[in-house]
Amino acid sequence: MKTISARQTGIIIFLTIFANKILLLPSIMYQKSQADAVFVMFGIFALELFILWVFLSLKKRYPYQNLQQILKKSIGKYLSKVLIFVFLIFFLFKTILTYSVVYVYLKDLVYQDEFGFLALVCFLPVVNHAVVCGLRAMGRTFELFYYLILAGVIFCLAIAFFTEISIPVFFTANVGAMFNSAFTHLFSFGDYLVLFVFIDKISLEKKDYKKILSFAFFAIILVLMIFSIFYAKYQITSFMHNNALADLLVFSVQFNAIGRLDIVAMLTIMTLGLFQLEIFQYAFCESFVMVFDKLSIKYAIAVFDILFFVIYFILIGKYELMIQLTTQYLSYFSLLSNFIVPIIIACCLFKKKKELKE
Amino acid sequence: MKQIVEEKIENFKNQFHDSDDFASRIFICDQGTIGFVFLKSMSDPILFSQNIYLPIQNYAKTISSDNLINVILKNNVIEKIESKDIIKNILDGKVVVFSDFFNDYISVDITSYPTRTPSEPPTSPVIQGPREGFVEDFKTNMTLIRRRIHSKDLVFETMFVGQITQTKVILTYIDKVADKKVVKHIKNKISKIKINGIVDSYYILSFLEKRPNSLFKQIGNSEKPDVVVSKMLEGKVAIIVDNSPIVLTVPFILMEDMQSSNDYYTNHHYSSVVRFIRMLGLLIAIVAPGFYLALQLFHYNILPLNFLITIADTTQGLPFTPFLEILFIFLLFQILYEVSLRLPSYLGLATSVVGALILGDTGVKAGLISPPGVIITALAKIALYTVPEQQSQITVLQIIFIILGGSLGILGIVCGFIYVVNYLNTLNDFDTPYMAPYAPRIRKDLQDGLIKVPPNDMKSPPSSFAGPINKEGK
Amino acid sequence: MKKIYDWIKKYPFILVLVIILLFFTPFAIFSPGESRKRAIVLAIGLDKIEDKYEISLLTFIPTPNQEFTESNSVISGIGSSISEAVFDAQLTLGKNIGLSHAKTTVVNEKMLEEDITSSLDYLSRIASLSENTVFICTNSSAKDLLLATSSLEENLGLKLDQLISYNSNEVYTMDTSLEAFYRGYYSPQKSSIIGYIEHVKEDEQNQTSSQDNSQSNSQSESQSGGASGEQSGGDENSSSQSAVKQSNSSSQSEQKSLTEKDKQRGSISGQSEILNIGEAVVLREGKKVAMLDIDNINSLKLLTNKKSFDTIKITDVKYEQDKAFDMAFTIKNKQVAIKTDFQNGVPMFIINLNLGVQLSEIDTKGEEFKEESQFTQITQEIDAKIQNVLKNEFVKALKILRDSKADVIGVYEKFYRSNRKDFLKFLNNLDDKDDYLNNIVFVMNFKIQSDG
Repeated sequence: MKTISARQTGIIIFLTIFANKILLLPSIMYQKSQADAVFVMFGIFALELFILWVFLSLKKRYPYQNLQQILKKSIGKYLSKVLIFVFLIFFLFKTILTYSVVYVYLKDLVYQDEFGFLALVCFLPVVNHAVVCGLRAMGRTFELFYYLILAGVIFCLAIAFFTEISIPVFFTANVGAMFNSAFTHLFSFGDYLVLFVFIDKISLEKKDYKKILSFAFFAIILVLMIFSIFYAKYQITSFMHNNALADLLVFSVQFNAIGRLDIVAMLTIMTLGLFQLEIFQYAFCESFVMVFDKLSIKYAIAVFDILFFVIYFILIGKYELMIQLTTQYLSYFSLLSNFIVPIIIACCLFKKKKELKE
Repeated sequence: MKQIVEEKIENFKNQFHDSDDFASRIFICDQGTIGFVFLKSMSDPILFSQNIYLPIQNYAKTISSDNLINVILKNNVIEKIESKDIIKNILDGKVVVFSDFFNDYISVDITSYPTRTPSEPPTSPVIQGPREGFVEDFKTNMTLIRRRIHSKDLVFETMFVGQITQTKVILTYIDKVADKKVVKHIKNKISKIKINGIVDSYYILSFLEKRPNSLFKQIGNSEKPDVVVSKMLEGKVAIIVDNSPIVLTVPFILMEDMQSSNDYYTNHHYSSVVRFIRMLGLLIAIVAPGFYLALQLFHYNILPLNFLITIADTTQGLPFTPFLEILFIFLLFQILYEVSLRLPSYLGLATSVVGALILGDTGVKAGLISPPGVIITALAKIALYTVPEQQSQITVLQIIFIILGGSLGILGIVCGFIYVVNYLNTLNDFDTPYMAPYAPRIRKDLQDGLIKVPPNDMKSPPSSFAGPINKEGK
Repeated sequence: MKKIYDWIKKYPFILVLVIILLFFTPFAIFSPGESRKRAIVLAIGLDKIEDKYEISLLTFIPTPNQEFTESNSVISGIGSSISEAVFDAQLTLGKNIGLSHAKTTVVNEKMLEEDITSSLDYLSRIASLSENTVFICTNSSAKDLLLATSSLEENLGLKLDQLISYNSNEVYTMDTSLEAFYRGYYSPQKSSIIGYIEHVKEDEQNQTSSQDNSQSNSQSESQSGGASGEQSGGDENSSSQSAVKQSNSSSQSEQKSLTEKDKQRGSISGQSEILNIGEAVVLREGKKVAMLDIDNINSLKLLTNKKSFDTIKITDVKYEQDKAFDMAFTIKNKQVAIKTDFQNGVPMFIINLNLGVQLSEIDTKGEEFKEESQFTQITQEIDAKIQNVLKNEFVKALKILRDSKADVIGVYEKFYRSNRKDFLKFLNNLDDKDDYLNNIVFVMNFKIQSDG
């Protein structure tokens, strides 16, 4: 079987956590909880780490089985399919959300015009092709671009320090606002759920667990750094800047004089966005194949593309609306996907542990 | 009795369709008649008369089936052969000796045909280091390899390909280093080749590749024995094809083309710098014209103001749109390239005058093309030769990226680039990842990656090729 | 048909390429490029004439030449809203405007009588206009200022944003950008500070200007008058030649045309004059409430860690047997530590300044002066005098801020950060919550050392 290495898994973990957190999220979280959004992030990341922990323990117990085989034993065939179906919906909207966020960024700053069809022609074939190529090829591509992306992100962060920044004013929002903020943007989290779907395609040894965790922590620290540096730089006007990573590069008179450094952020965001789309669509297709076990991955891709078109051009029609939708309705859904499903999986795990002990 | 020999000769002659270069001799002695057949075009008639005919004549009285071999001078390869191999031996330039008083067929190698002496190949010259290159003659090529590997583990295995040409294809590898599975696999593939004839190693390339329709090279090639030997030491298998100075090596990874033989004969710090420049050159060659177009057609906002002013000023009066301008300059360069390849060398100066002065300078002055356009396209076209082995692939990619950049902007370029990389990552022939040692990262092999360590630190052959198992993350 | 299907199945990317070739490439082939489709705007000027908005755009006009010089012109549009005005300007120009390279936004001083944010709203919503665009205010109409800079750029190669970025680096306490304005506007103190550049029209000037000066004016006027559009290639040579002449003549005539006012302040003469004297406007809730001159700004700058090029002049320093000299010091080194404290419920804003000063000038007033080197030492008298000067200047500046209730020095934030509870309590006890500056005690402690 074509599996991916621990390092590649780590990189997937690194990339997914960046999904839709580095562009719009800092700005819209600021509206609800000001600079305290950083603490909200701390809280939500604890949840992400819980998901990661469930995944790692699951992998330890069932090194070679896929999610459906694992769940089938504990909760039966149909219930397992329902759970995976929740994943399927989650990944579908996650892909669409990521697409929307990247699209809005590109529309505003790179193309400066509506370019819907062009974006589709660029993104969809590449993402579909990556899914057809499989996880191994994807993992290798991520590995190749990993340092470039990292360099891009760190470059953006470093440039921010050349302008005046001061420590943001913390503890301005009350606890209610923080919880509200966490709940509203819950759908932007839960990225580690992707790992469950291709659990059988990851080859991990016991010594690799440390590596995986270090990647996860590194990514979390970077995201938190982006949040705090962004707030430190823009302070009270953070809500006016919708593309955090790209905006870290501007607002500096000196650098504008030399030339445009935006290109660095632009390339980083495009690559990151594309990779996230690949991961989420792949996760969708994998869960699709698990739910409808008679259909191959090519059908999954076709179904995804059709659903994507339908949701966009018939149901929503606008990318900005999609982002609103995620904050209004999908947060309820993400309660199910981000909390309940991992807890059920964790319960299965304990049940199995108990049985083994007995 | 003489008739039997004559009949046999007649028979061979018929098989060669009375070809003019078919030669035969008959020698009659007391014991009986001896016949000789060979091809004048492949063998040396003087050698024949001095080493074979004269000695037999001298010992005519004592000659017998047992001592015939001893009579013939020993500076030639002499062997007894089966009757079914006679034609093949004649075709190889050997003399086949037979007689009516003994049943054996004896072949004596007096092959002689004009061959080139090994000289420095024009495609990969070195500043320091060995200057020998392979030639068309397979024997010389074998010698060039054997001379560099004094080991009993060096194996040559000959196979014949081409129903008509019956060209020799020689598989060579170092037994303890090369992966047995790869050798077996290649042997299997070569034996299955069905083709009338091959005249160059390129002909068998597509039979060995897993994806013959792919744009990308999946099999390495080199004209230099030192390069081939170093690749064999890494565990690769080399394929020598008779009449071709290009030796193929399998398996192939992209990094190989970033490594020039020069790198190994100079300071390793310098080599690392040069490899980075090569990498950059490759990127510039592929993306630069498309990127420039994307900036002009979609993203003026990314350009720094001063650069934008320069572009706006220079492109203001042009009759072409940016896309057509780049295509025009691209076409111009490509035509000049093709012309300079085929023009006799004494006309080379004329091409450069026409190309550089008349087309370039006058084109700009006449307001047909803009200086930035010329610079960008010329840069891409020249950068292409930092990796000359990938010249044909890059040229195709350049056109694709010009279309992508011009039609879709930067997003098109980024997506196209990732598409290509994704595709390259699916290539995994002989369990060797195409983008190794970077994707997947093979830590051990990074020593000869973009950053090269000194030879004394390279302790073992790269693991990208040696092991049969998937080596992800090792 | 099946063959085609198989072929596509085998090479799906070719299908994508065909789609690109069919739907995108033809447009791309005939597209003339963004630099020809869009007018590149370098600076934006906003004016309000009665109820209508006028937007003036300093645009770059591409001209085919090999010298790569900028030739700019000012295009304006009028409308009842900014977006209408922009559309009007686009109509005049026959191109869409591209704001990505706009580095300066100028507003008319009169517009600051009302909340300026309502006028800036259009600009703040344009994502392509980066928020670090310099934001300044001028006394006359923004259009005139842009016209003046347009001719300045042609004649002297001097750009407006160059002037401003010098100001914001060396003169102002903070950046004078749209972003900085909004940051102040949305902060609890609702105050911000923006740069001010005075523009003096020709007829306001002293009429002593020489003949060739007026000649050059009329020439450059004809170049930049309104939407004069593109210039033909042939004209370019002659105009660039005349530009060289102009700059010579204007520099010659500059000295003659200096008015009394100009002698005090530096000015750059072009078609009309732009006076950069480092003034700034204090805005509260988007309205102009006060003006700060360069001395005020310099004294406020003492509170920041920004490098200060302030010169402190002290007079009648007694030395060498009661001889009195005037001396000027420059601040070379500065360390600021600000503490906030509450003493008996009174908020204290304590500024601890550690200054390293260097003697830069001595006016001996014709008296004999011997040991120069001794003056690098700061005597008690000098110390006291410097402190006095600095304190006085700060008090003046602070009075302006107190009167206008504009806290542009971050007093609110400092208290909020360190004494949040007490400060909020203090604010609640005030009759006018915005008037907190008047109720805070400012304490300045100096430690002056010689540096250099």
